[in-house]
Amino acid sequence: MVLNAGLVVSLIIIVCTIPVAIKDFKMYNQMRSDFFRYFGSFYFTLSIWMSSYFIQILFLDTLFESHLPTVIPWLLGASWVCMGFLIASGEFAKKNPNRSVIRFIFIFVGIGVGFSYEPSFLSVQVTELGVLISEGLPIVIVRIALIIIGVIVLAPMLIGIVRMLNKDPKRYSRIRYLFIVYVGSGVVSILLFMNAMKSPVGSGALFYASAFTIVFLASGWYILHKHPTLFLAARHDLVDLIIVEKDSGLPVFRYNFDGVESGIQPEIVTAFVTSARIALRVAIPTSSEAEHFHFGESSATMNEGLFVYGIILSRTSSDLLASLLRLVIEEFEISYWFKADTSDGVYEFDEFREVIERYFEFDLYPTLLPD
Amino acid sequence: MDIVGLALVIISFTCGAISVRTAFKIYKTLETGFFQYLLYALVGFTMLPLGYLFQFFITDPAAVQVVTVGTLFFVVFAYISLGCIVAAVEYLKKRPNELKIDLSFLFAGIIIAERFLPAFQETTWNGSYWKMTFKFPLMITFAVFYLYVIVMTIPFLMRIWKHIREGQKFGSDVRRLFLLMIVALAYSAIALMINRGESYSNLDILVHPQGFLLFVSLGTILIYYILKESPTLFFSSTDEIIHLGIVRTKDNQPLVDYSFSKSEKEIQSFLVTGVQSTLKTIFQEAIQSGEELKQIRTGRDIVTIAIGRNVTGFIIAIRDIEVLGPLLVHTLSEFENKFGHEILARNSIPEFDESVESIFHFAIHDSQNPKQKKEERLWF
Repeated sequence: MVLNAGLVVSLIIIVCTIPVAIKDFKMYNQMRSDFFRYFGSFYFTLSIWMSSYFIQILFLDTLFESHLPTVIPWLLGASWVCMGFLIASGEFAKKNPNRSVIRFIFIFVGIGVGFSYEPSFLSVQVTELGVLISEGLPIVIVRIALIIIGVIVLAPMLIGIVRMLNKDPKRYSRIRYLFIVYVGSGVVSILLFMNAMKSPVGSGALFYASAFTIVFLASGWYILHKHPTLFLAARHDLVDLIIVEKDSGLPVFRYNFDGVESGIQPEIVTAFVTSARIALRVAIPTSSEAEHFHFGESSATMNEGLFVYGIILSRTSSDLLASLLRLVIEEFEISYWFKADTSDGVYEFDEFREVIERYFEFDLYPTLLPD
Repeated sequence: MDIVGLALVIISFTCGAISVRTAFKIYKTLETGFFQYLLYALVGFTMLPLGYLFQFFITDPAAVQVVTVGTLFFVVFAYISLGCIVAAVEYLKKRPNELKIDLSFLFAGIIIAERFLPAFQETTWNGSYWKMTFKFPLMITFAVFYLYVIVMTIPFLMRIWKHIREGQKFGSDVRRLFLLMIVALAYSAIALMINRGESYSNLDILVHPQGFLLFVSLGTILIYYILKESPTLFFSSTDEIIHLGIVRTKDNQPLVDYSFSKSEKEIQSFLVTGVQSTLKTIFQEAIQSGEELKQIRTGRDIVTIAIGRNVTGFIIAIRDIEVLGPLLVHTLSEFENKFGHEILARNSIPEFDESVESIFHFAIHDSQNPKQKKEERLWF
């Protein structure tokens, strides 16, 4: 009965990881940020790791039982790759990811996977209660080293997110608790699973780990659904977002991110950008509208809609910023297309501020810094 | 002691070191991801021969452990180098796929681990040389890894060869060098594959460590010559770079206008640099940034801009080619060194077109460059 319950629990976990992985890959397609691709790969390989429990329970006391010691190490290899993707996604969440660190992590992960295929380093015994796994010292050392690397890479990002959320406890109270639950359940479930790996499934250790894992997956799905840019908080140092009506070239909406009003009026910025775009069309006849002006790390990113175009000024830029601006412009036009030809320069769309704050909520961190 | 083998180790290491030195100089000038990872790969292939020192120095069958561990310690670099080769090729693309690169390093890590497992391989002295035989799981891993590297790199090599063969843009010496390099790499790859097989072929030359090292030496020295003759060969592209302009900063007077594309409409260089100087002032105030405008992206083109002492240069391409920024900086530096005293006096300097063709010859149409031109070695 314990084994049957284990079968159900492991199946539930596998089923729960897949929607989160799909959500991540969809976010990647939309925002083109490698963080989402690696985070989705983490969830995907997590489901493969969990399938080792499902398969061992399924094939116990069957004709295929004798093949379990061969099959299980292959599936457990996914646990290493899973950790690698998790740590790499943490690195990609940073402003300037260090790609050499990521390469090094994957070499290490590969070493862990390779060692798993050595019977003297990882032995798999089939018992009545399930598969009993014993890890040799080399594997334990590599795993500890990977955990240390993971803590070094992920801890600053996680602490940064919690600190950012603590800056405005009232505004972010719900997401703050959810994030702590997400991270806490993730850490506990990883530790419990590493411990559970040594015990047969029938001993019940799997259930404790599963409970935390299901909480981890559910909270992760909710965060990705409602607050997808949380993990990329404070990646950008945003200055201004201006929406310009195309026909008149006048700004119709402005959102200031950094709380500091610059000496330049948005109408002047808009005028120069508009004239620069026209000049570039004349200078390079075969080209199309300008989309980015890069000043080293800083940038002005434009996105063309049907009736308006948007400009976002930031001190650090990324493809994610361009994707968010595109989504903002699309939503603006859907909401206000009938008012898009306003030409008196009056900002009539103050309620749109809520939309900006939703898309860029975790990029508003600079405004939350103490004076 | 195998004297011939030791000599080959020294030759191989020296060839590798020479190519590393050249790759490093080029990387310092043209700081691109491609040259960075090519440099790392060459470092790895330079370290690889040192592992064979153990095989050629020690011929006592009882010392099998020392030979195995000693060889493996340096062979590890070769697997990481193969990962770096995949990374280098990816960085030539518009959007490098980080996942493909990381998978190659994952495979490298798996092989590194398995090579150190005694159960997966056996080293024996066959009276002539040390022979390593590999068990089935390790062979599978080798097959997957090598196949992965080949699939990632073959299209790139074919694309380069196609550009080299087109017309006379690259001289016959560059073509021969490239072909020889392919042969050396192919031989090394085939020797590795056969070596990994359960039973050795009778073609001893293919599996003998000396033969393998000979072709590794050849491969690395050929890469050195290619880097020396035509470092931008690997960025070969036609129809991707459109225009280069150099303008006097003081008054926006165009001094050099070079069109890479025959069908291109006239580019108004002074407008491009005018946009640069105008936006610089406004955005420095708006963003509170002291940076210059470095790049403009439109839906179709990428305009890379660089500022010299008295001139501003820009280059228009239809995709983001990583090497264009450093090449443009280099071009402006050459221009100011050659014509520094004439920049303020003249309104046009057409004779610099030859230098542009030399620096950017990898992107020149054959019709613009009917005769073979030797690329000036302007960076070392």
